Amino acid sequence: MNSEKEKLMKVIRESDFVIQECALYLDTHPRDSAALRLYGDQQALRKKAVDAYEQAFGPLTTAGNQFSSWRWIDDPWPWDLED
Amino acid sequence: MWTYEKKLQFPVQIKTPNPAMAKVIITQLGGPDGELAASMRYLNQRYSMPYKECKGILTDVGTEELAHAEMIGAIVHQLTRCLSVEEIKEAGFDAYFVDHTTGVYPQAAAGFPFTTAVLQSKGDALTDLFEDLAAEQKARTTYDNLLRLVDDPDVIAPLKFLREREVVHFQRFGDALRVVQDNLDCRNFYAMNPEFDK
Repeated sequence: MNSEKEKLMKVIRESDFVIQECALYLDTHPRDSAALRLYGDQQALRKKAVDAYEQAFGPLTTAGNQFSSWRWIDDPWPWDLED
Repeated sequence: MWTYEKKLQFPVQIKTPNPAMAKVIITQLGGPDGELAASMRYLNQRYSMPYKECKGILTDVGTEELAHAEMIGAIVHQLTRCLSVEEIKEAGFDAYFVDHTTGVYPQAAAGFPFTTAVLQSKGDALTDLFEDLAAEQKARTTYDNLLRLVDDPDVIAPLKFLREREVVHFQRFGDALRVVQDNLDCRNFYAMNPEFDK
């Protein structure tokens, strides 16, 4: 796997993990300001990494596809073993 | 509605196929305590749930379980790549093979297909949350049992991640249970059903 691609995906996965943990916690603790702050910080980090990833390696959602070509269907898909 | 993200929640890259392992791990896709049952349980319990915190947690955990089902599908798929007929026979994968070749089909380790008979949507906030807490523990035990059988680090890493998520979800459902109880009569939580009695 391309190392820049791997690096960006790692940032996205890690921020997604924190965002998911914050979201589940905030569902039952909606007024916890520290969790809300962490959630916001990670969203900003994630957005930067997703923009860079999609620009270089293709869309992560159908909405992230560029208008000029349909890269959405390009391999690899998430369950594919990569060399 | 839902939007698909073209990535796994935790990476699955298994270099060595092992159909015997696939045969048991598939239970976390379509088995009684598997990810698909978990997702269907939580997402369907949402509609009658009266408390916003609990609507949120059922939606968000139910959604995460779909990502877990996809990880199990990826594990099973990668464990059954490039098999010879000899390997299929030796691993005891032949019964699965005749029905599904190497397609991923949601079934239990014992072979019975995915069924909603293993889950409940009872229409009672306390009852459903106790079911959800139990479901997370049953899934955690299943991952513990699988981890006893696996020795490939490529398989152990995603299974350990998924096991840990069961523990986190158990804790969050515990918080949701507290929210429900806080809304009820503390002298008798069971005096009425907040999903039916108004």
